Amino acid sequence: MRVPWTLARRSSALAFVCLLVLGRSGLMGIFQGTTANSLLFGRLPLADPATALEVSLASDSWPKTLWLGAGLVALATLALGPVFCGWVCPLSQLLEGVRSLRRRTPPSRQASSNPVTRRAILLCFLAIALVGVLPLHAALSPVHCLSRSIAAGLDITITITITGCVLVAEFIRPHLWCKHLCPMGAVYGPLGRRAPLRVHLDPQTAGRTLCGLCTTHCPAGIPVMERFAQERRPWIDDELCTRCGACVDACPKGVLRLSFNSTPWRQRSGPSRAKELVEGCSGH
Amino acid sequence: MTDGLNNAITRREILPLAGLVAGLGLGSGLRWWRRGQSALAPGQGVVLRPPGARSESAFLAACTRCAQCIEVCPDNCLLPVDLGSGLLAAATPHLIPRQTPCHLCRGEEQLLCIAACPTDALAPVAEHRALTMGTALIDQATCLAHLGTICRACWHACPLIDEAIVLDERGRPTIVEEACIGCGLCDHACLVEPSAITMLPFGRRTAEVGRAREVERG
Repeated sequence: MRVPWTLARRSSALAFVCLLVLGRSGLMGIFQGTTANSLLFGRLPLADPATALEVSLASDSWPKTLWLGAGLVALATLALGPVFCGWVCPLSQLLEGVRSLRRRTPPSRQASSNPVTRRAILLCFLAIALVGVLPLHAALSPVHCLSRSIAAGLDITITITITGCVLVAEFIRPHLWCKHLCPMGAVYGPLGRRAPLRVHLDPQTAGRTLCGLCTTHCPAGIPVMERFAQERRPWIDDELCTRCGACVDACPKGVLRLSFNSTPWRQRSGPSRAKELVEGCSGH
Repeated sequence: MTDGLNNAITRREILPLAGLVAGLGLGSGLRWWRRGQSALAPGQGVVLRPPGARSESAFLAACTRCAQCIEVCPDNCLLPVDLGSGLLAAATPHLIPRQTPCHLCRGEEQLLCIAACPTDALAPVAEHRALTMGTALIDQATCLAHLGTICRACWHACPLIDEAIVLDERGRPTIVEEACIGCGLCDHACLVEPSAITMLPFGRRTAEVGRAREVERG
């Protein structure tokens, strides 16, 4: 039996929250720190590249441990895509919860695949760090605030205020934070966009039914099949794709696949399967 | 048509690039000016920072607010600064010695918070004597010993006994500012309520040592 990707992803995010809580308890050997930077198993440093860059600019020094951690995270992003956003970030899970309160609406066909605003915001924060000698994003990012509150019970007031604002904004305008505002995503997105772990589409069968389930289920609001119909690219090329697998889970026809394997369907399972799928779809 | 398209694309690309270059130039200029202006006097802040912290502004710049120091402290001495001390200092670590003084990791060679800090917000020091968390100040109007009672609570509690706190011929404690590292154990031990000892995040010693370190760093 195949485990649904969404279930795997929720477990992963929950596991991260458990790690954060472990840091607070006595079991510090396993994990300490927050989403800004942390230490796994007492020796493996991890750090958010955006935060590391900001702090380094502000403090005018490039600490080894921090950048080793940032390098490891960047490498993981290069290989796996922006998985932090979908599989780890505690805030993104909350935001998905908020969005699920709204009725599912398919994104517009022209939904932007080029989130410029969040890059501009990242640049602003870097400029503030450089000029103001202050890591403002490290101090006030709702992602860091939330993880700090979970990890060490810190600044609950700030967290509730900032996270609350982001959640309300998300309800009014879906995808506002992740897609348009988050400076961390502005680093993870372009870094992981062409990672070998991707959602592949079967060019033989994709777009046959246009049921739109992949598009409506995409937490990043990517018009999956619509874009395939326009561009005929057999994988999802979008910096917002966090490799969450929601589209794969949603597809009733098995047209999508999340894997490192880019071999086309035909070569993998023979022409009969493609034909069978085509017939199955056209019967709809 | 292709010409027009090319022009549009180049202009689109060059404008942000020029903006970035101008911004960076302006930024580095401002930064240079700002650095010269604030000679980074240590202990500008109002809170007591953990061991190994440098000047308040340098500390605020380098701290990622990751809370690792707070999590590793064996005596749970480090507390996060709350919103009252300003939005920008929020969630950074500090000490409230009257509640939980710094026990210097009970004799450990390397202090755990300094070891845990991934940046140089908390930088290693050669020995515990070189720490500059703050300076104790004795209020002679409420100190029992100064009022004539026999009390040596602070003197006994001091990890640098007879160095940072000395007793005069009548048994009254005096702080040696040059030696006090600001751990706050004396403040914690003081029998009077409220404590006759105040921990100042600044002092002659912190200023001198801090300045020396800034010079070292260049």
